[in-house]
Amino acid sequence: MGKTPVLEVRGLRKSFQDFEAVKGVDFTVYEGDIFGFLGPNGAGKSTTLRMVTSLINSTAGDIRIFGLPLSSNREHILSRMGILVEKPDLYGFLSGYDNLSMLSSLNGKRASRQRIEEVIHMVGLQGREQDKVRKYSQGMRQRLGIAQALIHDPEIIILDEPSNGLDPQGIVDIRELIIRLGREFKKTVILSSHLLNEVEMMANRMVIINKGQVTVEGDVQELLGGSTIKVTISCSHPEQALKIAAETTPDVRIADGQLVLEIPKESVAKLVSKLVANQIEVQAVVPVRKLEDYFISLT
Amino acid sequence: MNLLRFELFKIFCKPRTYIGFAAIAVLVPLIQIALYIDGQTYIEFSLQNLKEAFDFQGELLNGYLASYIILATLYVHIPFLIALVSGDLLAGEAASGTLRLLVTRPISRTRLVLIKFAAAMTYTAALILFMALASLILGILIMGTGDLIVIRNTIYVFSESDVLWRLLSAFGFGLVAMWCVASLSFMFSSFASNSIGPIILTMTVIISFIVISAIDLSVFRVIKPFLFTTYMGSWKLFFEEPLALRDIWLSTGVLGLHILVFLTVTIINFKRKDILS
Repeated sequence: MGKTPVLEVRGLRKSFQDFEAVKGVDFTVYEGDIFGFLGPNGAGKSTTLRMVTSLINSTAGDIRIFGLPLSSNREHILSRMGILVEKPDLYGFLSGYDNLSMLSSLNGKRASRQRIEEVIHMVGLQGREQDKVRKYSQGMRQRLGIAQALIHDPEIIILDEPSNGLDPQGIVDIRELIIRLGREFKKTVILSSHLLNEVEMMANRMVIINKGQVTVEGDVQELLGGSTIKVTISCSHPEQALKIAAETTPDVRIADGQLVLEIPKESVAKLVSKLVANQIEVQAVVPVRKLEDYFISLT
Repeated sequence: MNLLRFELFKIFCKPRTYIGFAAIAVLVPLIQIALYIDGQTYIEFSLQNLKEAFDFQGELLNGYLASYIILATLYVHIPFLIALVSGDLLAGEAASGTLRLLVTRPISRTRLVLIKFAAAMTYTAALILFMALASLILGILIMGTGDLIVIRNTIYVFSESDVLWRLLSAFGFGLVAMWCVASLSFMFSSFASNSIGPIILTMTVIISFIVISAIDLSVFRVIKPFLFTTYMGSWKLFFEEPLALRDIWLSTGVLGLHILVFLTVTIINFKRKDILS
């Protein structure tokens, strides 16, 4: 049985006076997807997300969420969605806890203390929840922004640039949280980010938008070459290493004194062992961001 | 009720909300003390032409007269204090980015506007109530009670027992007038992305309308009945005898109609508005 579509966008258009920002966008998000929403600056990505979240009205086209038209079922649909669009602007004069409590009341029912604490733990804000938000760092605001999107246990979560303002540890924490939301809590996550390697690590499906139109939509692994991985290997004797690697894959070359190759994921460890066995010192094996290459080739 | 509480909580968490209360807390005692010190001269001056024909007895300088004078200042500074808060309700949230949080919640835009509108009306009522209580209580404490003399086209003398209800009714009417101002700035707020614009625009409209009303030209006389500011001064009708009930109801109705129109425009605009901030 096929997966159930939870968000279907068809022929979506948006014009601002003479400028057409979105020119007939179509894409589908299925239940349980972690869906990457990509595009360069000014591609129409934010405008599309704003239409999907009912912040702006479309000029033409159809948005169906949970099988229902958004235009005529707005409140019902929004009650099942958690949304963080652009930067997380919250009430600075309230504490993080009060922000969540107050905002949850707008969902129809104020969240219980237990639920608020649970969400605070999920985003890693425990211990700071009673501080006023105006004292929060950008990273903490980002975490609280994600928390407010999760507070009412929505089925679809839309996160626009969730890693913005986070330090490297914060980026890892949020990545793990998003993966957990998808795998453990079976949520559908729509993720817009300019950190392409982050999207590559998290998303199973994606759409790339450029100049107001969909350039490509599909399964991330299929689009990026499936089971192979592109890596660079820094080692002591590149010429000798090239010959050994060529026995495993034809797609190998030397660039800047490093071996650059694309091989099946399961062969990486075997190749490294083989190089070491041939007295070649392997200093580093670094995966190349395939999505970045792919993105640049399309946009 | 939860949502209204949230809105009121937000309003009363902002320092600008207290500017109105602080201004009244300073201005009312200032006027009362000034009247207490120099009020007799003020009364002598006001009645100088009448003293030849009438004999005035009793304590004319009292808390009721002070409240009447304070009531007359309502239209000078209170609209600004009200616009400061009601003009910020939608535009301020747009400027700070929190409007996105509200609009993406499962609550209709119409309901959101109505809740914010109710909060604006509650704030206005609190401010006018504070002004009424401050002027009456403080005035009575400092100068006691007494008869009230009002000089308009004719001289009205209201006995002590006949004044309090008139003052309270006039403050009540003043509240309706200030609700109209709050609705106007709230409407402007729905068009703006920062709160400065709605505040300035509200004051510009009120001052322009008052100026138009004050200049006695035939062109302006035609426009005057259509300006809501014309009806804002009808609180004075409570200090006439017999009471011009028809005119009071007409003024209340016109102001009420303006409130309704301003609210309707706000709802229609906000429902269509693209939240781009």
